[in-house]
Amino acid sequence: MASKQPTRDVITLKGSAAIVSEFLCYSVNSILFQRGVYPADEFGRVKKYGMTLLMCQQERVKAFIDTITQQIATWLETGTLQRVVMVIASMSTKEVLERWNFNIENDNEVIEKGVTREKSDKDIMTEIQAIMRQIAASVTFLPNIEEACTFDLLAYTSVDSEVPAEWAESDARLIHNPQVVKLRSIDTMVHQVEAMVAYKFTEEL
Amino acid sequence: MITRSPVQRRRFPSSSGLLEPGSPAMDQLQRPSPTKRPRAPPDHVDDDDFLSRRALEVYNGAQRSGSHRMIAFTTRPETDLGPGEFDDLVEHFGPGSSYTLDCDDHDHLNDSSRCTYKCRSMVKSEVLENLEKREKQVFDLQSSVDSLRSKLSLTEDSEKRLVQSKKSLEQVVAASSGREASMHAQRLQESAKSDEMLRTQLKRCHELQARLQEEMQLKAEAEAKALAAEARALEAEQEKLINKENSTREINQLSRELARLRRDSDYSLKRLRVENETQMEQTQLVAEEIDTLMTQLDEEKKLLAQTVEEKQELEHKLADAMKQLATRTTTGSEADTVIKHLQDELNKSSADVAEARKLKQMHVNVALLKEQLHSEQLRANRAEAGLTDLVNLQSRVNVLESELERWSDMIEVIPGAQTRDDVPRCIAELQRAAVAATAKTGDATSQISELKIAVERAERSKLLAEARASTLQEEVADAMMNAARLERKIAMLSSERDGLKRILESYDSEEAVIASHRKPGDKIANLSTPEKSKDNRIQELSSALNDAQQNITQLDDALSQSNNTAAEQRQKIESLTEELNDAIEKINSLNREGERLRKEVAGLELKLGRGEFNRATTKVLHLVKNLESGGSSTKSTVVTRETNKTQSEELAALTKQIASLEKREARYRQIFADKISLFREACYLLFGYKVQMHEEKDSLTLMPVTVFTLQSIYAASDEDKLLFQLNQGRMDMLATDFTTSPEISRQVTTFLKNFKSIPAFMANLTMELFNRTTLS
Repeated sequence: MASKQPTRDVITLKGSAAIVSEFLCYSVNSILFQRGVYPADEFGRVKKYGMTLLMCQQERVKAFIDTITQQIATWLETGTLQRVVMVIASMSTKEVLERWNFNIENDNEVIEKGVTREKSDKDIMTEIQAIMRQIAASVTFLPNIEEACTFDLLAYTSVDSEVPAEWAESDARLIHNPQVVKLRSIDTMVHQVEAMVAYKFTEEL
Repeated sequence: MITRSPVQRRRFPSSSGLLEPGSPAMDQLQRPSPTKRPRAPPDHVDDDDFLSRRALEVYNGAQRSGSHRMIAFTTRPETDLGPGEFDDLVEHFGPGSSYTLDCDDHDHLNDSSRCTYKCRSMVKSEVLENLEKREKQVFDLQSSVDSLRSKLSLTEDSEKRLVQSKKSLEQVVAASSGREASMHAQRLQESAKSDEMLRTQLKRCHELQARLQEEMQLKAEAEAKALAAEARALEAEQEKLINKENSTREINQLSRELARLRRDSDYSLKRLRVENETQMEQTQLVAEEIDTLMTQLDEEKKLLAQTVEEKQELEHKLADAMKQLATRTTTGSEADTVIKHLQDELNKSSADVAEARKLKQMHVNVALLKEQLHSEQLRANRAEAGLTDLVNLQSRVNVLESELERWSDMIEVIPGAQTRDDVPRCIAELQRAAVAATAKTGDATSQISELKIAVERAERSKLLAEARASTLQEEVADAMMNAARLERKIAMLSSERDGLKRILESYDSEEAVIASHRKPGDKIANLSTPEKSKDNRIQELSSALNDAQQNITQLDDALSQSNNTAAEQRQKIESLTEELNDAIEKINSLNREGERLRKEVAGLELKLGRGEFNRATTKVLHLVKNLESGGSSTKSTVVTRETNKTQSEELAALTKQIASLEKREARYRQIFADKISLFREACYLLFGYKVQMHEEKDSLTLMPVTVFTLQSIYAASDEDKLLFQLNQGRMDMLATDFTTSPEISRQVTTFLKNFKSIPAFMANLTMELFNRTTLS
């Protein structure tokens, strides 16, 4: 009875969590490359979402991102994750230069009752592609990063959620008087991710 | 009679002068003519008619002219004519018209007499005709008078009847007017009611307007309040800003002062340290000096001891010498001189010693003084520097004092602040006040918005009231229209009534005519029929009246129905307008809500963009072992990045080097190859053997071994080769077909086995092969 098409378009909570966490992993890598946080020769090319993306090959960074991606996936499955923020800060002054904000809206019906939603993979992929392209294009308007930088990933979770081992509460690491540019969003019908970048505004003299 | 017309009067005087009684003219006149009828005496003229006068005139004219004239005298008519008749006659002839023929010409006397005759006859016939006519007229008039009299009696009768009917009709009219009046009163009452309603509505309207004005006033007050509050807030903010600026300036100044003081203190500390050091140095120097002096002293003491010893020795010597002198007298004088000399020397030397001591002391003193001078100079320098510092410090102190004064002035200016510590408190208070003011302004704005809403409501109610007033006005207009309609109806009714009256009149007139035509005897017999007809008519009229009344009631009903429907519709309209207003209000409130929500969304988005979050619902987590905490790796990446750079540079340099080295190597190889081939060529030519070298693996030990293949220049065939193996510094010959041949094997045994000499074997073999080739 059931043809191939509808079975493919059904999106479960777990599947959505996997899609979103994978998307976050790739976008973090893409930002690391585009913003030049690590040298370009430390990145390797990967085909994904119908486009060529760059993944950091430094073992330490890879391990860091993988750990966080796994944790994000589990959080997404429980619906406790509200936001993931990638902070790019100066290494010397620790000043936050950019905040890449991924706001996550959870569909509570899916999380509580376990119902499924329908959306084709192709549509989701198109949305992800659009964000990836926006990240690549953001280099044109974001200020040049001239000093050595490092990054951190902050997870905004609900207060009642358990803090896993190896994780600790952190400062929000806000930028004073930032410029905000809203990017596109992706929607798996279970999780909606709105991307936004806030950066330190330096007035032209 | 004579003085009737001015013409006559004019004429008479003209003739009166001539017309004297007893005058010859008169005589002529009185003389009767044979052809004429006896005429009336001239005294009759006064009493007679006009014609006689005319004749007289004619006669007078003839007299004046002196000619004979015939004058016709009209006799009095038989019929008695009234005075009016004469008037008519006068008019007939007219004062201007003259029948006289002025015959002034003497030559035509006969003609004139004929003419007068003709005239007389003409006048007579005319007068007669007129008379007849007049008589006829009189008769006619008398008959008409008679008929008119009869008519008068008839009309009087009819007038009486008409008066009666008029009275009855007046009663009817009075009744109808009474009805009309009652209806009018009803209408007036209705109109009064509607007027009252209108007035009440207007009153309400006025009240609402008054309320609106009050609201407007309140709004204006609130706005004024809000403005005042804003102004106050602005002032407070400005004050705050000024205070902030002042405080920041003060803080800056104080920090600068602090820095300066710190610098000063550092400087003084340094100075003190330097001084201390110099002091220490001095003390060290002094100690050294002391040491040196002590050593010098020791030396001096030693010297002194030596000199004392010398002196003692010399004294001893002297004593000896004295002894010798005593013993030796021969040399006494010489000895004395020597002694003296020596004593002098001794004295000199002692003086020298003293001088030396003095000089030493002087030297020490000079060094000390030098030291002191140096230290004094240093001190002087320091003192100079201190003086400049002092000047600087004084200027700074002055500046600071002025600043302090300014500050104190400012603190005095700031209300409620007595010391510098009060300034931040004041600022905090002002900030609080600003916050309060902003809150107030917020309240005021909210009040304004509320008032605006109230004003809107009031306006809406005003509009409603106006709409109501307009509807009421419409109602009033309707009522007026109804009244007009009713009036028109009344007019119609009255016209109808008039028509009926007219019909009645016509009937009455008919009746009167009939009555007049009937004989009095028939009157009594026919009296019943007109009454009947009247009754019938009355009945008809009453029925018509009833019909009309029914019509009126029907019309009234219709009117009331239409009024009711209109009222219903009006109510509907009112309810609908109320609903509409409610809907508009709802829409407005929804719009406001939407705007507010949009603002909220914008604010929240901005907050989201900044990364703000609610601590009550959200917490921020990150990996403890993040890349920043273990900064070494990231640092190392930077280091590697840097080293990479250097490495790449190095690499480039090295590759360059490698290239150059490779080139060199190739060149060397080439050279080596050339040299080797040259060497091999030389060896071949010198020793007669072509040597080839290659590496092989040993069949037993699997170790790499170098195998040399030698071929003699004199070899008979190419197969004649010698094989040697160099293994760990030992050269072994390997057996080949050539070496196992009996000639060679003999040589092998003699040279290699017995003497173990490869060169000898080789030389022998060369010689053997040479001999063989050359000899063969």
